[in-house]
Amino acid sequence: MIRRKLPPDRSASGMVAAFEQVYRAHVRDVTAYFARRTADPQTVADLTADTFVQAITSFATFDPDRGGHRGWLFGIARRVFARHCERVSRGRDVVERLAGWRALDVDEAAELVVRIDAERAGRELLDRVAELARADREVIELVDIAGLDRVDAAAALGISSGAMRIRLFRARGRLRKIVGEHNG
Amino acid sequence: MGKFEDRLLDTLLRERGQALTAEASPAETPSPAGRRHWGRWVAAAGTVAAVAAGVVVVQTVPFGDQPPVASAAAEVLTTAADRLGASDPVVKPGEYLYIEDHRWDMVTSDDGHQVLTYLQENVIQTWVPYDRSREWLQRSYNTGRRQWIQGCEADLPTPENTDVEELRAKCGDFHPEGGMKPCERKGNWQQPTPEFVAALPSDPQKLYDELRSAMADEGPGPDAAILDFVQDAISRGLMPAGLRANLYRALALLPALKVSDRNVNLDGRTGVGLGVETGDRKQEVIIDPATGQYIGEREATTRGFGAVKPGTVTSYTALSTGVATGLGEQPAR
Repeated sequence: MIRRKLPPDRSASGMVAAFEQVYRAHVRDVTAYFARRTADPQTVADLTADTFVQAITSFATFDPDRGGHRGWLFGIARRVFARHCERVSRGRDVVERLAGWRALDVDEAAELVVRIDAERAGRELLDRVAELARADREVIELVDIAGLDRVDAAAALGISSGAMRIRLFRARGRLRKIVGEHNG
Repeated sequence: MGKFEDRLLDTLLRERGQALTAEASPAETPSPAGRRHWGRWVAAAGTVAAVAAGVVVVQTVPFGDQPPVASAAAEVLTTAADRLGASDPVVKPGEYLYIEDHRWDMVTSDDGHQVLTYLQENVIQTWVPYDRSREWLQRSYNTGRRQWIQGCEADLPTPENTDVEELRAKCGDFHPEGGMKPCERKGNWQQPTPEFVAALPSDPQKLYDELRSAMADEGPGPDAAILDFVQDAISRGLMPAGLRANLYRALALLPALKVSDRNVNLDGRTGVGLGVETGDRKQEVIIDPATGQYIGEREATTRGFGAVKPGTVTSYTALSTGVATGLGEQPAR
């Protein structure tokens, strides 16, 4: 028999409060994750919305023993972005819109433009590490830019913590080598 | 939060809030975590033959239904600590300690349409000179060998890079911190210098206390983090035998550590698995009871998900050491 640790309060109000807490704690970081990838406020908003649609849908079955919410959310965000890229490359609609979700108004768009601007340094760093393999870039971004700990980053990437350890070690080494070559 | 985040939260709760109270069946709404697919443990002794023949021999690690024996772990570690050192390779001036690490790690890729999951083999070879301030060599490469769990070779979009990456550096400082020259680095657990080793407590209890306080805030559980850290320290084969023995004795004080498997086979070498279970994972350090030597580690999911059964191994490594007469040369087997 496999025991599952569930959130302590399974009542409707308890679950809403628990989700809201997770949402409030991480939504800015998820928005920033997309803001490092695209400078279009509407796309950032839609991808963030899509991530949290998936999060709320599976929140009731989320098992905290599997790792933190942060790693779980970044794992979703990563897949959402991969699907977005694939759809864009095939000329399809950007994301499946949440019912009732409308385009950003002027204030919201202006707000996101500021956020996107704030991620410029992160975007530039990602550009600089473009020479790294995708797997290395992902590790560097999640740990060194987004600030996930090793366990959350491993959960987000769907790899074991042992694999994460070696990947991070090697990715940082390759990054230093590239930076050294550019500076030298 | 800004206006955008507030409106998104309102919309989510209004449109999808019912999902929070209706525990959906996994088949309908797989949790993102559940979409991870973990590699399977393949009995290492049979790995090459089994893969070559296209047959995957799946083995799982025991857990849960076997009552763990806490004192047995301490006994194994204490005995191993006493035996350690006698079988260490003896490196003479001009020779090199050769460390070969075979890692099988699970890789999952999901492009939105197809999930590919496999264990992939990487080899890291390190040559450490007798005089550690001289040049070290490290070669690492993806062998291209995979054990497929989901998908097949034809599904891979492009062949993976199997080039050998070669690094050379004095003192083993392959990746010196910014601006620092080789041999200026202060030692740490992963890259111990003689000064770092000398400064560590020689009393196992004090060593344990130091590890415990350093790991208090780490990851899902400090016990797993301590085991992880000690593995980091001993897995590169660089710590002197006396310190490794003390680390074993410190690990013996870890309450959560149990003898999890008395017959683990890593690349043909058998050992005892000492493991810690945290959340949905079990981490094990594998020790050869006859010599006390660390021979590898493995990690498994204790719950499984989807079609992956509980006990399925997600990664494992096998470490071996020897003496090479020249940089880049293989030791005589």
